[in-house]
Order: sequence, then C-alpha cells, then structure tokens
Amino acid sequence: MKEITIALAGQANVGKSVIFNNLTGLHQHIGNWPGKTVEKAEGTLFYKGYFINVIDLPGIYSLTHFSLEELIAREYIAEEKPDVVVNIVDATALERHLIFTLQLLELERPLVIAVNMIDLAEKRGIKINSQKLEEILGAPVVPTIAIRGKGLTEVLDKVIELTEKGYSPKRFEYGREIEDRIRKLEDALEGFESPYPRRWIAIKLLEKDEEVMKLVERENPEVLELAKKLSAEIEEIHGHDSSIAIANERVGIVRQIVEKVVEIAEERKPSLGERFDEIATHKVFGYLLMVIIFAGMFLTVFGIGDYIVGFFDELTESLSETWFAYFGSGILSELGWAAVESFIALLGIVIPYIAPLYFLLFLLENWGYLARVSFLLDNVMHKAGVHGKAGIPMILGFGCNVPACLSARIMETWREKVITILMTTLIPCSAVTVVVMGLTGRYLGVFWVTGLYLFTLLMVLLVGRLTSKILPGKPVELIMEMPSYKTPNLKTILIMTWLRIRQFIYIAMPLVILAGVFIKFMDLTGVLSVVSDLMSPITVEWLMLPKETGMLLIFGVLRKELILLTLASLLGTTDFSAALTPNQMVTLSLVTIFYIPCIATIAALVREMGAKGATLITVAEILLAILIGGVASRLLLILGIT
Amino acid sequence: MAHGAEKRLADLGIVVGSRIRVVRKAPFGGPIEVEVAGSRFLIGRRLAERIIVEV
Repeated sequence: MKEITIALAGQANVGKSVIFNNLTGLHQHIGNWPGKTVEKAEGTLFYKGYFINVIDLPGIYSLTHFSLEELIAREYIAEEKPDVVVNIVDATALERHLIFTLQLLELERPLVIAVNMIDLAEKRGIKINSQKLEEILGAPVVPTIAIRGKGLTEVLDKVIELTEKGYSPKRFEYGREIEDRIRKLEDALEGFESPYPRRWIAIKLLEKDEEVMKLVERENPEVLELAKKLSAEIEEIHGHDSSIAIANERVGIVRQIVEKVVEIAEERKPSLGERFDEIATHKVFGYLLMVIIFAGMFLTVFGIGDYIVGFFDELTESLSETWFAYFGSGILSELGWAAVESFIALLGIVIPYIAPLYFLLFLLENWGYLARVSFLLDNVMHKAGVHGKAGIPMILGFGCNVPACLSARIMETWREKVITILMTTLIPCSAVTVVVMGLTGRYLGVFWVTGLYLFTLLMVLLVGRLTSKILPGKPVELIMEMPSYKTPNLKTILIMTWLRIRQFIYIAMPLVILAGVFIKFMDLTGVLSVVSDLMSPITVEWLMLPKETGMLLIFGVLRKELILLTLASLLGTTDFSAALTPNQMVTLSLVTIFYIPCIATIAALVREMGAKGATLITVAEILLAILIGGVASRLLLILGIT
Repeated sequence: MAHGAEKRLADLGIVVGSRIRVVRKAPFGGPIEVEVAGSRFLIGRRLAERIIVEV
C-alpha cells in the first residue's frame, strides 16, 4: 500500500484540531516532540488505497522563531519533509492567515490550503474566490466547514493529486531592495548543505532569525557577515529593523492577494456573539459570569463526582476483603494490595474529577470563552509577572491541579509556562480544601479559612513575581486572538479528552503505584515512624506540630485528603481538637496548602516539564511550605493564638 | 517598542499603516481589544500604549 505523510499547519482557533480529529478519529497517538515538552499528536487513516499519516503541528502564528511551537513546526516541515503540508486558514480572517501561508510557501513543500469556516465567512458577507486564490498561490485551495466534516475528502483528494502529479512551489517576490539582497545571499549560500531551501535561509538571515544565524555561522561565517551587512542596508533604506521591514512587505503582498480574491458585502449588524461579548467582557457582569461559569463547573463536577467516588470506595472495600481472604495478610499480600489500591485511587480521581474538568476546559476553549477569561484576568496576572492566559490554569487549579498543570501549555514560552505551573501547583485544590475545612474551618470558622485563602493567593502572586524576576528572559506581552464564538464540536472534544486522559494515566500509573507500595512498605516495616521521627527537627521544633505530622505529610503525598484520614485513624477519633491546638491547625493547614504537590500532580509536572523540572518545583515547594508554616506559627503565637 | 512584540504584531497583520479599530478596553488597566482586517485581538495595555494611531 502507498503511504503518504501529511502535516497540518495553522494558527490557533482555526479548527485545526477539529480537522485532525475528524480525519483520524481514535487512530491517534499523543506524545511529546522528542526532547521537548510540546505535545505531538499523530494519527492515521486509509483513503482511496492510501495509508495516510497525519501529523498535527502545534498551533502557530508565524514561522519566525518566536516560540518552541514555531521552531518545532518549521523543523519538522524542513527536516522530515512530509509529502504534503495542509495549511488551514480562517475564511473570516484571510489576510492574517495568508501571512502565515506565505511563510509556509517559502519552505517549498507541497501545500494544500483548506479555507475553513467558509460558512461563517458567508454569513458575514465575505465572499472568497478560491479558484483565483489557487491560481495566485500556485497551490490547491479547498473551502471547508470542519465542524460538519465538509470539504475534508476534497482536501485528501488534492493531497493525493499533489503527490501523484508533483508540485512546483511558487515564489513571491519582495520589494526590489529586499529581493536583490535575498538573491545576493542565495548566491553566497551556493553549496550550503541544509534541509532548508536556500531562499528560505536567505530570508531568515535577513530577518535575523537566531537559529538560522547559528546554523550558518558554523559553516559559513562569511555569509553571516554578508547577511548582517545586507540587513543593515535594508534598515538604512526602510528605517525599520530588517525583520520588520520584511514582515511589512509580506503583509503588503497578502493585502494585494486579498484584494483580488475577497469581496466584502455591506456593513453587517453585530452578531449574537459580539452582543454576548458586551456582557462577557463587562467590568462587573463579565467577572460575575466568569465566577458563575467556573463555580457551576466545579459544583457540577464535584457534585456528581462524589457519587462516583462513593462507588469507588465500595469497590475498594469489597475488593480488599476478597484480596486478603485469598492472599492472606503476609507482607507481600499487603504490598500487592497497596499497588491495587493505588491504581483504583488513581482512577478514583481521574474518572470523576480530572476527566470531566478536562472535558469542560476543552469545551470552553472550543467555544471561544477562554480568551474572555484572559481578557478579564490579564491585569491581575500582570502583578505576578505573567499575562492573562495564565489565569486559566490557576482557576482550574482550585478544582484539581492535574488538568490545571496540563493546561499550562497554552503559555507561549518556557519561561511563562514555568511561572504559571509553579503558581498553579500552589493553588489549593479541592482535596486541600477538604483538609483546610476539616481543620481550620471546623474548629476556627470560615472567617479563618477565608483569611488563609486570601493569604495563599497573595503568596501565589508573590511567588509568580519573584520567579519572573529570577528567571532569565523578558516577560511576554499579551498578544492573543479574541476568537469569535463557535459551536463546540462534541466529537473533537470527546476524542481530545479521552486520548489525553489515557496518556496521563499511562504516565501517572507507575508513579502512583510505586509511591503507594513504597509508603506501605515503609509503614509495615516501621521505617515510616522512624522517618517521621527523623523529620521532627522540622515538624516538631520548627513547625511546632505533633511528631506524627511527618507521617501525615508523607501519606498526603499520595492524596492530600489522606492527611485528614490518617490523622483520624492515628487518633482513633475525628475530634481533632484533642490532638491539635488552634495554632497547630492553622499551621498544618498552611503546610498542606503549600507543600509538595500530590503524586498525580507530580506526574502531570513530569509530562509538562520533564523529570528535572518536576523535581525542582517539588523541592522548592517543600522548602516554601516549611518556611511559611514556621513563620506563621510564630506570628500566631505573637497574636496570642496558641 | 520591543522588537519581538513588533514582529509578532506584524505576523498578525498589524503593521505601520494598518487600519485598526479599538473594540473595547478591559477594566482596571487590562488589555485592549482591537479589530484588524476582520480579526480581533487582545493587546496588553503597556504594549498597546506604544502603538501610535492616526485618527
């Protein structure tokens, strides 16, 4: 059978994932790009006797090196040379999307352009002459409506046609001053071995692209010198940085194309979505709506989740009876049960909480609402040194840190992502809330809980601000699309949720089981209480908590609510005031909030930042918790709370 | 203007001479929402302040 590889390239919010999921369904593999923490989605399908591999390139705005995603996309296209690149563009914003198309053409791979959301464009009175666009671009153009699966087979037909007939890329020429210099560089690059087209390298050199400059410097330092001289000449003529001058000309070329192929009817009335935005972005109602949406989301998920958890509890109990009846109560049987129990416990948080939250997140994203959250939260997030997009993982964090950390991938750069994840893992999730309510809430009142949460939020912002000062690089300014509202595509959302949850379970399972068995082993052999005693300089002397605290905190790594459950089983009662003073309750609550993320969150961190990053964040947070707990305990003493 | 930001704006089609319309401003010094060639964007306030427009 003949095999074809196609790569989907397009900007965010263009319906790329809908097309990808429509084409490949459940025949997908989700992983990370080699050595990177950017998600890679691959899938396969059969069509007209072809076995087609589909690679979903990360959503990007340009192929000029700005973020990791963009670098990955262009490296993939140049080095792996997919048979065809399918560029998905937004019919309602053709001008902006064609700027990207122009850059794809410069990579000189066979290109098919899918003009998506053609129905929305028509509704807005935008008419696109695809035939003319095809002639101008020298590449097949297919109008599509991805959410209804329209036009996708035509895209595949064109893909097959291109691979069978061959393709010769069309060149777009820049203005004389720039074009002459591109040619000079192309000549100078004669004989330069690289997977990238020579003309592309020449353009990127003039745009001062760092990666390309490094590439050329290694082998042809004199060409780099020439490029610098030529860029300086362009700057002299245009009065702008050469990269801006080139970008300006690209916009100019695109505008000329758009003028020829797009017809816009009379002024239109504001759409329903635009009118809804008056509320969604309002300075009072906007925030109110946001609170309602997220509170509603959490209440629904946790309300239903509690029932499902009840089922898991019963399952665990009956299984445990069967297990011990069958295997006896030897140490191996105990350890085996710890493994089974850990796995059920993992499913017991994934199925009722993580999966639904992830699903709802994708739903809000697909609909277009998440951009409105960034709009509303940008100002607060700026205080923490990041921009508005970071608000989304943070809000999710109140539900569960796992989907929250996984969603931090929306941040553009490694730097913004680290800061966001660090802040997110400090947000008290629902399990932490259970502990805080069970201690501070129950014995000192809601007033204290509110105080603790306000303090926590303040600390989170402070940590964000400090990290953004410490980490190298400059903060990224918020520039993001405010997409129009779209009808969410249920199939896409379900597939995306399912595949990502499955991958998360794969990553988390070994970690969760190992940790569960290990802690059980320590418990059975009595090592746990020794370790707990060894921790007493910190727990007893510095934090002024009972010496069993070490044990509580170790169990809490598995799941935070175990802190409360273990305490109850150690005491033999749920009246915690018998063992803890008010001061200790507040201190223990604070330590619970800030110390080590639970094991499932650590698994999410491993997926998003690698083992090293996960370890770094974990250690940093333990130190932070110790510091805050000890200081708070003493401050409370001064305030007369013993 | 920071060079990186200028480049990103250019990639979105916001260059010298673009027609740009302010749709709304976020409360409390938040971002500005603008419309350029049929697309809407959020631009951080500090960056937006450095975009000079002719009315």
